[in-house]
Amino acid sequence: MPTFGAMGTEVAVHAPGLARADEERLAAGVAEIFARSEARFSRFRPDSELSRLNAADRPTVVSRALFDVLQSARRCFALTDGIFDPTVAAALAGHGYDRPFTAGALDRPHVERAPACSFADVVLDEATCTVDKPLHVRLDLGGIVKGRTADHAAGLLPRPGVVDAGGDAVLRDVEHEGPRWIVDVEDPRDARRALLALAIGDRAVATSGTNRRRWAAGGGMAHHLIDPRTGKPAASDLVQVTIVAASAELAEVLAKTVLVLGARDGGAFLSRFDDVAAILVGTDGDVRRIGDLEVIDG
Amino acid sequence: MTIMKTTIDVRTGSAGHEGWNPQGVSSDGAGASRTVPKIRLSALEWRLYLSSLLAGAYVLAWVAFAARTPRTATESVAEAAAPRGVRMTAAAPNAGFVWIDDVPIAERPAVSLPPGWAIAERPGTPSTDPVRRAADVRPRIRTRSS
Repeated sequence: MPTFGAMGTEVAVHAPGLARADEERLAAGVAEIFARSEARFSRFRPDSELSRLNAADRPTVVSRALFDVLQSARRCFALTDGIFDPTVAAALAGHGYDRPFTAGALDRPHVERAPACSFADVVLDEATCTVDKPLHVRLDLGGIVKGRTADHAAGLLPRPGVVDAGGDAVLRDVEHEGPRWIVDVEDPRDARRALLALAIGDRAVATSGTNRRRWAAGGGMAHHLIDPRTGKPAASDLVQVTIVAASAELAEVLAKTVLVLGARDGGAFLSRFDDVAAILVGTDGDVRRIGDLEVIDG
Repeated sequence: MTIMKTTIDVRTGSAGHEGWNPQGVSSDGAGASRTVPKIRLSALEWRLYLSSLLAGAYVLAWVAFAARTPRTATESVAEAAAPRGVRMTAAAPNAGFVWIDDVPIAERPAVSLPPGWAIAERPGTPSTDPVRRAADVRPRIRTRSS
């Protein structure tokens, strides 16, 4: 299947019903969508629209595309009681994640404490697409943009088809034929193994974990899932969370939220959703299934 | 008066006269004729004779059976893929098939293929329309943190 690099991961496009040439043309279209999204929403590119907004010290009129993402982030902020918070960018940078992740590149002996902030401090004016935020507030949309872009790109997919952005995938099935895709859930303790396999139809799946994107910071190990309540990498009893939901955006946001909340609170949080299923992997290796899942292996 | 018995040698056509010779061979040298041998088969020869008769009947039965049997599965599937009413000569004047991508989409038949079968792509001419291929296994992806 055709693949390309985007957003710090490998994106794969697969449409089993297409001839190879058509599948490659489809992948080129998907790659263009990801490239445009990354160019606009990356906090690591100084010329991105998000970087310009982060540097702004006054109310800023942004594009409709950026404003739509911020509005969606605002809804997720409310949905998760503030656990999903894009203003963790300063805390991430204080722990060393201030450049694209590569192994060893983020290691540092000291951690810089970032000023407390919240997405509630950011004012969105829909009428004028204006964003007003305190200067010290910096936004990181990495927790939502990849899934959202996958959802957008899935509009190009035939049936059956999939856009798989480094494990955050949107699956499109042939109607009335039942679940077609098999999704292996990686074992966070051994990436060569799968914990189990799921049969998934017209859904999206996303996984968040603390086993990747880890680096040495302040004499310990840091990871990229910041708990906005502490401003530090989440001290969770979960090492990986996989969510199956209607969209990759929702699945990605919920996976991060549940991981930050931990097994007990995360499980209780998920009980609010009727149409969401999850697999929680504890630091002790315990695997817990929540919701309606068709497990075919494992 | 001597009564002579006249015989004809079936191999030489020559006529001769002689007394009864059980071996069918003249006992008086050149010019003597032979009598028709009495057919007396041994048990082994009878077995061989009957076996060849049975084998011949078996072959004839198979030939007759094969003439009435439907063609092979390959030909049947290829025929099923060809829509009725479509001129076969449009794609390949001398071939007994038509490429499905030569048929207008609205006229394409619903083809139900056996597991493991696929509709092939036309060699050498990349199609612009999507061509559905049978997949006998469900595609697999992996979800992981990234």
